[in-house]
Amino acid sequence: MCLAAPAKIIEIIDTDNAIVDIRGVHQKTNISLVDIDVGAWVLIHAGIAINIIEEQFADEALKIIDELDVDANEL
Amino acid sequence: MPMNSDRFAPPQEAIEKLKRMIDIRVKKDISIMEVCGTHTMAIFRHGIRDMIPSKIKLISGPGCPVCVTENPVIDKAIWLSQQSDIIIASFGDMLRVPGSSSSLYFEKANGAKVQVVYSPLLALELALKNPDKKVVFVAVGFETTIPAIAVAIKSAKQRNIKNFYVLCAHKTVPKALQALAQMDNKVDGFLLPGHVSSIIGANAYRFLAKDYKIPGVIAGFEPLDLMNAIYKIVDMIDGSRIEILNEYKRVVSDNGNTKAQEVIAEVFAPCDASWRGLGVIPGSGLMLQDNYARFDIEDNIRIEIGESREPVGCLCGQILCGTKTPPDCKFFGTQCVPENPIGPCMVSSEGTCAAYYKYSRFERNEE
Repeated sequence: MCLAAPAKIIEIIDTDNAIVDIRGVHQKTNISLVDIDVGAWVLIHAGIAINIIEEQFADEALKIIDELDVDANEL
Repeated sequence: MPMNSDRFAPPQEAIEKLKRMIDIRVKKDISIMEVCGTHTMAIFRHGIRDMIPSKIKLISGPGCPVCVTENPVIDKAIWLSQQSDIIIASFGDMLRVPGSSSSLYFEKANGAKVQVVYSPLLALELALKNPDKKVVFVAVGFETTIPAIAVAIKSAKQRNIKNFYVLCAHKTVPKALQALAQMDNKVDGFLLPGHVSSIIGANAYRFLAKDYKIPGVIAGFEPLDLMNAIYKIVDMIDGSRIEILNEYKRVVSDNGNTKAQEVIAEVFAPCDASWRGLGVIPGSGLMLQDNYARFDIEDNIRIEIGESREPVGCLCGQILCGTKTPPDCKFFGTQCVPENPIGPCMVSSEGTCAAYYKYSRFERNEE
């Protein structure tokens, strides 16, 4: 799927891994392809953060996922 | 004035304004192709075709990586799943895609070890948990997905994981666009992908305007994004100013994600690839670099499949080029439905046939 899920970084584990919050669900995500801090918002696809986004666009990204009836946890 | 969807004007008002502007500016019949499965779905979901004049033909192209994967790859994955020492790890979409005579879903139902994963990194974890098995990840996807697999393979090498492998079937979008731009009935404009572009960057598409004089707009997935992109394409054609515009700047930059590009280049090298519907496109696939070649399952096992067969009468190939639409296919909506697909375009959540089936199968075919 081309689509990516917006997630907030809530804990940095190491340079490659972080815990993110996707709609209240916490999961481990690889962050080796982005430079971010706790509190940043990223787009996640296939278990990897592929881009940084601004928080105001996270709502938009979630809306798209809802409209297209996709399980955000599987992006 | 052209609308900048990054400013988020009240959507409905802005959309109505764009509708009027498109109606005024479109002077001749034009065709616009989208090459992103999520755009395929979003266009249907938001009824974009109903909002634009009939002079503009919106065509779905080869935007679904599962759909453009040909039967030999599926058949190889099926053969691998039948080996007792192999666990197949795959994205969910691939499971129901019919191969020449079976599917991963059918094999799983018959006892094959087939595990759905949403990330190749989970396939790596599966390999760690099953040291006596070979875990083979079916690596299908475009540039949104390729970085994840590159990272997984790089991690496997760093951690010296010896039982993790990939069945390489990745494809890259710009080469497909080039092939489409070289076709006889080439389209007049491209709606360019959202998240693939976040990886490869807007500059990856400049050649379309420079070498082939085809305009393109990188767009998001909201109705306002799509209408704005269509307007911009119409405007460029009418004004003979052919460019590649990035209208998804909140996610896409000119150069893309350079870290992702570096890891892809470290792990993979371009190779030729055969696309369902488009044939062999030089340089449009990816193979493992020499120092990562040991992760290629085909370098480790001789896979013996018979001749791969496509289902007779299935129009997936032509649908992927945009030369036919799903209602043109005699199987659409009757023998070929999501629960019982004949071709991949009906299976994948990004497939054109799946989109038509979900959103417009009850409408008259106006083609």
